[in-house]
Amino acid sequence: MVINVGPQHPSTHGVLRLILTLDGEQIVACEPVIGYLHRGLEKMMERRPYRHNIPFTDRLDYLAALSNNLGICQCIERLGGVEVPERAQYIRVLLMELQRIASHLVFLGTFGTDLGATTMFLYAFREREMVLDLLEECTGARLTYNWVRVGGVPDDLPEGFGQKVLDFAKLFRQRIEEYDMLLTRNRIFRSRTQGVGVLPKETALAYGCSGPVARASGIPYDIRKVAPYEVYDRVEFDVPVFEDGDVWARYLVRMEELRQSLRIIEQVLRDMPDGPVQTKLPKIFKPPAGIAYSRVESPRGELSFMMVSDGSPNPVRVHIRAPSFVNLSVLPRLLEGAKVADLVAILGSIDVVLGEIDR
Amino acid sequence: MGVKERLEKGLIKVPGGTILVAKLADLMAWARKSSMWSLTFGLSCCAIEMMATAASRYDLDRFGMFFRATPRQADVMIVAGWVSVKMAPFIKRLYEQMPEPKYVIAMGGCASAGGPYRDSITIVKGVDQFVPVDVYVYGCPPRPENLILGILKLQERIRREHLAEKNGLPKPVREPIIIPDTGATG
Amino acid sequence: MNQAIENLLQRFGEAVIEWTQVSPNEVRLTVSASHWRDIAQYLHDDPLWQMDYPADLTVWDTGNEFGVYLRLWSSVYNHNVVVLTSISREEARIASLATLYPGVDWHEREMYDMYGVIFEGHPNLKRILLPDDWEGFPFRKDYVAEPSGNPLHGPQPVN
Repeated sequence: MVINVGPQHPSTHGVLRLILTLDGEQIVACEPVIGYLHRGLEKMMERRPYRHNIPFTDRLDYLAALSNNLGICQCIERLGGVEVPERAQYIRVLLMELQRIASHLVFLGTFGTDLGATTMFLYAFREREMVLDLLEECTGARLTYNWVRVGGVPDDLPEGFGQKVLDFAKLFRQRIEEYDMLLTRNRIFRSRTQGVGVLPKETALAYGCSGPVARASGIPYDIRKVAPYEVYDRVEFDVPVFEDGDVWARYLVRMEELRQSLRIIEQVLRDMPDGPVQTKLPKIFKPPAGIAYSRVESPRGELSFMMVSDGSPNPVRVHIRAPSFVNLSVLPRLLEGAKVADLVAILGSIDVVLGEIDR
Repeated sequence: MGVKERLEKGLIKVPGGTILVAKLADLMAWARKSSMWSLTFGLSCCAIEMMATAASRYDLDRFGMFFRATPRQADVMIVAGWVSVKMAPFIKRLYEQMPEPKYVIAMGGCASAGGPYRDSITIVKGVDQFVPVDVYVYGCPPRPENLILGILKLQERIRREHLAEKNGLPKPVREPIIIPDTGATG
Repeated sequence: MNQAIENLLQRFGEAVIEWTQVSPNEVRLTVSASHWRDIAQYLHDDPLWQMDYPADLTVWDTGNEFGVYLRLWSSVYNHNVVVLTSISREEARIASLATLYPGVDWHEREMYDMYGVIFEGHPNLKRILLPDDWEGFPFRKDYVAEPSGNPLHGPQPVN
């Protein structure tokens, strides 16, 4: 029997269509159909000067907009050989970690809702509103921040921001305990997620999976440790790696990352130096001809931008390697032999954002 | 006129109790506007703000609105996000599957007019190219307060709408309501 | 890393047109398109390279020809390789790496969708992002399209 799931469906995270071939309750084959959100962003970026493309990147992975901004700015900086002042690097790391917390909260909320635990949605979004308040105070926007520039950040942190973040961190640690009570110690949640959707380590490597999906399968691949950027080599934090590779492991990786992000935030606020926050660039910015790439650890995995320049103000090519695009390609393997009832849990645990898949 | 006064106007004491008399059209309009069920049609970034509007802080349930996945049970479709050429036939089909009376809210710049993707070759310049839109909520993404304002204005319009054509009253022409983007502080 | 590079150059000779060591753990190679698959297989299998993680594969249009870019990472040694090559625009064909690295499967499909590059040996080369009935390859520099008049259909290519 062939069943069509989507593109409009209560449980898909965005407009994704799955064509499932079923044998009773078991899934025999799955073919994801994507492209319902394709805008041709990479082509549109070729018509604009380099820095005009930064707002487009907000709308790629819209749950982690700041990571995308950082990715493209790092790529342009590598092309043009632009240095970033130290204070700007600390501010970038602070914003990235706050963004990671906001994105993982959406994962927790929607994952809980997919499995039927709707209360988690309300709890997670309650905390997410607090993070969004902090980010709005700093950047002026709630979702599409556009707050990283080539050479730094547009402006310094507002007065008293550090203390507000520390207050939030103290409160959030208790809230993570609440989430543990709701989900991690919940027998039904565990039996629905443990042993389900196992991704072996070799498959994850061969498919290029990154982020929590890879770390839950035993690959200790976190770009913040493997190829540190900004000031990640100066802060201490752990990277959670689990061996099981099932939905439960992916959930635990993200829960632990919430705690580690708080650790990083506290160290960054303690160590941030004073100084300028942006390197001035010429009005018409023409980087030398060449090819450069950058990679950042977005909440979904390895987000990489590759740009080709020929010395003109517009790029010749911008290529966006989206982590969800690659992570989704492993879904047919994950679903082979799984039951239809587990489809939602497996798809939710990969945590895809269709904006960056379709670009 | 407040609810209490209107209620008291309609209360008639009869032996054995009290009966409430009201115009059927008023009662139906009130019932329809107080429980608008919307189709979960979040396409992209605006969908996240729509979810935030339905979540803890900007609770949409207090306005009687919550999300149903099937178009057969939905009254209003909030198109949140950009519409691509590949997706457009599905939106049209879903709109046709919704039972009358149905309304469409175009949330965000992309659903209203194409948004920042006006020079993209795969994006339809606004969802009003193929479905009639009642409320345009501008913004990229619009703040939850703006979306709630759009929903409240739509509720007001529904309350005043008369569905009966049989009385000789023509169906009113629906001019779209436009909610401008008022920025971060709302 | 140096020994690994020496072995590679010894094995492939003139197929490696140019190489630079960008940093202690990153090498950038420009190779000839006919040896694309062989070099990728060597980088995957050789014990000193062990590039087991396919990070990225893409194509770009310089106006005269297509450039192909492949980025690999090794989880064993933590070193990166960027492999570049160029193919002609008229005959846009190159060997597919999808059976060697399953992770580039969808990347190759996307490049076929956008540029019309045929990846020989790909198990399922069809459009992935654009609608199935789309005509033309939009990311090419000479792609010109005019609006079709029907808002529900994409533009029609002129050439």
